[in-house]
Amino acid sequence: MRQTWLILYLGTLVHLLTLYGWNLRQPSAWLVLVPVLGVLVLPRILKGRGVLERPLLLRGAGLAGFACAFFFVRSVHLGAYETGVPASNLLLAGAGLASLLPGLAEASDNGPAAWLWIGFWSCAGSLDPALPLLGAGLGGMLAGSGIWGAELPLTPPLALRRPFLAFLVFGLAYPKAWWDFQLRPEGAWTLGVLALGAAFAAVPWVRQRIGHLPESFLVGAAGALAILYGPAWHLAWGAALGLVLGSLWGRLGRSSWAPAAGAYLLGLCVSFALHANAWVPGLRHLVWLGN
Amino acid sequence: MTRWMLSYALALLSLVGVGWPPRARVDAPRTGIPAEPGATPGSVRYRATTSLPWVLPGAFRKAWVEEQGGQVRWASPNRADVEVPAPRTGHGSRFRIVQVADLIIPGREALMEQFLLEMERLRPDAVLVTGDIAYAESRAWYDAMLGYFRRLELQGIPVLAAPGNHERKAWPEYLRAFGPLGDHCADLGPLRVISLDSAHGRDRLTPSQLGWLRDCLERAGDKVTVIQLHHPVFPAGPAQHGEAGGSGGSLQGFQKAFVDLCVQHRVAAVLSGHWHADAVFDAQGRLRDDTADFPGPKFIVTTALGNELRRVTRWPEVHYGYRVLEFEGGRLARYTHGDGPDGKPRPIASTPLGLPPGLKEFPR
Repeated sequence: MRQTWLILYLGTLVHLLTLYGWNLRQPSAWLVLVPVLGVLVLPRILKGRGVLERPLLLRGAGLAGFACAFFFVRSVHLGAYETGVPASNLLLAGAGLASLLPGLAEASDNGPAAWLWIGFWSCAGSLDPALPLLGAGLGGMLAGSGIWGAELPLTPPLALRRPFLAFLVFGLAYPKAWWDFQLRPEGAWTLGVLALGAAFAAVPWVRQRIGHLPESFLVGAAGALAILYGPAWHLAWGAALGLVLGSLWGRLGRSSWAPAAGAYLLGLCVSFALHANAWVPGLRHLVWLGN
Repeated sequence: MTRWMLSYALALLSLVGVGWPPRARVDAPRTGIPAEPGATPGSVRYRATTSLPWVLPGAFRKAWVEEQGGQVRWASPNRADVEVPAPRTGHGSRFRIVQVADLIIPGREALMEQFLLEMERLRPDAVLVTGDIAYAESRAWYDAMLGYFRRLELQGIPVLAAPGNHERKAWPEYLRAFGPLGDHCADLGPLRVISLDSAHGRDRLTPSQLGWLRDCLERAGDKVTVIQLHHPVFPAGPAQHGEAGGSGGSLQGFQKAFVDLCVQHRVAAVLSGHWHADAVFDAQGRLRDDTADFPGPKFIVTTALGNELRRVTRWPEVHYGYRVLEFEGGRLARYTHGDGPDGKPRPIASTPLGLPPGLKEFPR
């Protein structure tokens, strides 16, 4: 569930903001930062307080998250997300915050099944870029109501020593297809294949085999993929980055989740700055291969 | 297993819930040209994105399939292409388009009225608006701009718009007012007009955008191709005037690949704005203030219609204006204003816009 929130909610939120802009002069536009702050501080605040052990609360939060996501997606379907509309911002922030709680409560990850869910909704993004949010909201509801339940506990052969660096680099690579395809729907397939790659890496016998790859190799691979992107091989690129992501995720400890989420978000923001022309000499030539 | 089947069943139900009742969005490049070139010669293609996969709403089916005999093809589960025979346009071998860029700021609406007045006299076959259409970000301002273009369309002059960097400040408004596509391709008489969004990352094309452009150019057949994008393709370079007032930015991402494509596919003209000044370059990036008649694509930069004026290159003339392009017999016959002392067309100059009484220019 946690990766569902990270990729489907947080990723799509940033995607929508990059597609349609972020009107910071509208006070309600700042609301979308609430779930972002939530992911960074809630794990610490709620630790040991027993809040996340109340099934009724989790069920209610999941349901509210799904309702917010549903009405948000319905309101922007076939249109555009306008951060100048307070109701949209409120629904979007509500969806994020409410569906985050079941993710925080989860004892373990769902393995390949969660990645397949992410893949399904990433592909649904080809119909409308906002649709993956619905997958995050529905995932929160299903996890909160206990339908997803706890899967087999993960026993990573290696722990991620530098989760911040690993997910920062992943965050740099992940949105390449967004920048490239912009409003065209093909980018959604890239991210769908990426999730399938991660699902493959999460299959137990695959995880055993790639579990001993050095962490530096995975970080280096993610960094290389941030540069070696090309639309001619975007699906293969997605699959490769998915394998890296699945392998990194399999090593991520529960306590490292919040820093990893923060690093991922920072990576997305740095990627945005680079692709939105931050006038960084030298680096701008690395933004696109053959540029 | 059962719980995942339930999850996916709920997922499908919620997808239907989002899209119900069936509706659709016309993916037209602009208000005046609702159709893209079709796959077969002599046909045009309407494209709609539907709220439910493989469900074309009744109103669309009636208008496109029953009344015009169109054939529906699903390009993807929610994108319907309807191909219908192209209407006869009645264009002869002569064709005239007008290009404008960098329109007005609030308070200077008189310039836009003057432009409409001049278009009424000039009667171009189409108007291309090459970005920085709206300098205010409100919906009311976008609607006001759209209102001006609708008045042109009521006179039978279609308008094709490409976004500029200022449109990125209120991008949803641009998409709502000017169609949900940043890039588009339309056939106008003997021309294929390709509009590109160069404002992603302020001044860049992306790899897949370049691939899309290549496809459009390869399918152009014997059409004369014109491309509009907001950012000038070449920098002023050695032709720069002083410090150029801090302006003079040009296309950065895939500039060389773009120029190579234009040369390879014999693009007649690449039209830009952004500098609020006139300039014309050849495919080698040289400012051509020596002649208007040189081989290869013309990379044309047109002055502002109504915003502040600048002097970016050594070309000395500074005025509000627009660019008139005349096509004859399948080639670009004229794109500058007035004749030189030798009777040949002057280089670079765009057509000055008459200043309404009481309004002054404000060069930087």
